[in-house]
Amino acid sequence: MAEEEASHPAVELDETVHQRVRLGVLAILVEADRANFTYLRDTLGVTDGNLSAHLNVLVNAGYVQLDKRFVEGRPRTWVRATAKGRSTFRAEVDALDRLVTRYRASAQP
Amino acid sequence: METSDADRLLGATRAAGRRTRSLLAANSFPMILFGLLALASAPVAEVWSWPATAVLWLVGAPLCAVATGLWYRSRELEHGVAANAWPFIATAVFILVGATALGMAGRGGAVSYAGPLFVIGLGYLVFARLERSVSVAGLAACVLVGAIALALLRPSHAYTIGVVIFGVGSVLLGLVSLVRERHVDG
Repeated sequence: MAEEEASHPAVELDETVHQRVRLGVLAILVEADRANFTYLRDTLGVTDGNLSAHLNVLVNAGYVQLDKRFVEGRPRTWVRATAKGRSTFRAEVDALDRLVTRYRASAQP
Repeated sequence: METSDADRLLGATRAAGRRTRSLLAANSFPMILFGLLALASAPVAEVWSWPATAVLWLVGAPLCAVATGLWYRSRELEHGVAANAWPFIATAVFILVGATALGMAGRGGAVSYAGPLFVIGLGYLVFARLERSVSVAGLAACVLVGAIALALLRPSHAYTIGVVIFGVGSVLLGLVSLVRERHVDG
């Protein structure tokens, strides 16, 4: 019983990453080398303040890096995933996939 | 966490990733540009001479490569998302150097037309892998098979046959990509 509990995919979910916006940020950054603040905000449909707060969580966890620079005279914040962020994202998606697969298998008559 | 939540979260996550991948898979500009350059070289080779064709490529290919870099840079600024450019730059340099070296080493013989075409095919296979594009991989396979066939069969007008295969395929794929980009960008 204890062994079954320990192997349940839900146990492997990462508290920092499995939040919708943070997972979305990493999903984008795993596909791209970098994305700017505006692209992340518009694609994920969140406000500036909301995205800033989630990016701070990801930065503090070491999952993304911020790069602030001027492009055509205007300040732009570019975001990149770190190697740790990429591997954590893949582990999270694997765990979610297994969770859903396990539920569907158990729900079948 | 509820399993339906997990399902929704996975769906939203994959949608964000798919949209980003679609934006980054844009390649209409280089496909059309290099396709047109290849097609333009066919009459030059037929009407003028081998050195004139070589000059066209030596001048045209680097200019097209620079224009392609600027096009990707403008997309990056417009959309706010970018791929890692270095693998693409390394592959482009491999194609430019490899095709030029074989083109010049062949001195108008089979190596001078089949060799560059083979290098272009190899390069496009790498581009296909980087962009995860089945259509670019298909074009690369056609170009590789064409290069091998031309080297073995050595038909008359071999250069023209080779560049028309590559040029027409590249322009057509570029146009398809352009339609897809307009849909994704829209």
